[in-house]
Amino acid sequence: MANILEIDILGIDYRYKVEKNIIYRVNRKQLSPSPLVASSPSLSSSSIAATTYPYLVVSEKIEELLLSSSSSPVIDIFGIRSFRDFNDDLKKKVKKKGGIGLEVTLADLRKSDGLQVGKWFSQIRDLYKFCRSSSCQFILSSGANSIEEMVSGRSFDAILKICDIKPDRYWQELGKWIESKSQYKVFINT
Amino acid sequence: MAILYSGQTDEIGIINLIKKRNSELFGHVATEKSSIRLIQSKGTNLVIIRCKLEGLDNILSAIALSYPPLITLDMSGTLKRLRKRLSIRNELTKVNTVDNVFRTGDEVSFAAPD
Repeated sequence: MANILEIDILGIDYRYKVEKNIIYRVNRKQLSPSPLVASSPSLSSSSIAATTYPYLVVSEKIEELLLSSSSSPVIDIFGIRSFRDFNDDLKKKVKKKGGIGLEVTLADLRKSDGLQVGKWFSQIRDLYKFCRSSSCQFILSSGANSIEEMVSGRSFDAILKICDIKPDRYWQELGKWIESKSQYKVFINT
Repeated sequence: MAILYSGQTDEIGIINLIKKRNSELFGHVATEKSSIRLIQSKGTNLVIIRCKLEGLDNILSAIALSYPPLITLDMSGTLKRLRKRLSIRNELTKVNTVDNVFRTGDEVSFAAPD
């Protein structure tokens, strides 16, 4: 289905089954000891979190966001459920951390009325500007819980354009960011 | 464009849903200018619509932000090409009635970039 919708890589919840071109969304760091770690105790604790699949730690809890730091990130992506909660104080703290992904989803927006969606577009513009100035990664996600709720790549592009975001630039930056965030966690058993 | 939908809504309901959402987001004038029209709907949960190229981005956004959820499966400047593309993807989509949805050679009035 992802191919049909022109989506190269999907982010889905980890259900103990590893598939190609999927980045797994988990709610905490994976702690699966690898043979490499067992044979070399000098390896850092971040190596212990290495898995055979790429993953990103996603959370919507502000406490977990505040616990993160650029040197030892607790989470990779912070899901913004309410722009009211994502206030100036929180922005200042996020700015200091840097490199974190800020995710907004379309799923909840479907049931909102036109007025709220219009306001959301404006909030997205501001969030994108904030992300650019604070070296955070802006992430627009479908938030789909089923195939019917998936959003095609072309529709994402259209929404990004309405929010004054250049789709090409966005996908390029997101690709690089995902690669940099997920790559170091993958342990390839050779 | 080919739109996949779920639930018990009929094809007229889908068109009305897209028009309503588009009007909410971009206004009635923009919706009328977009000329959203139902082309065909024979398959289960699949509807073919056409719109003007100028309003394409708005329509795509309205589809992505509609409830019940709709998915833009594919789009093309001509129905012939749309049929071809959907046929190739038929196996993946599991939309078993796609083959009978189109009449070959039918043209529509918009052209989307490949």
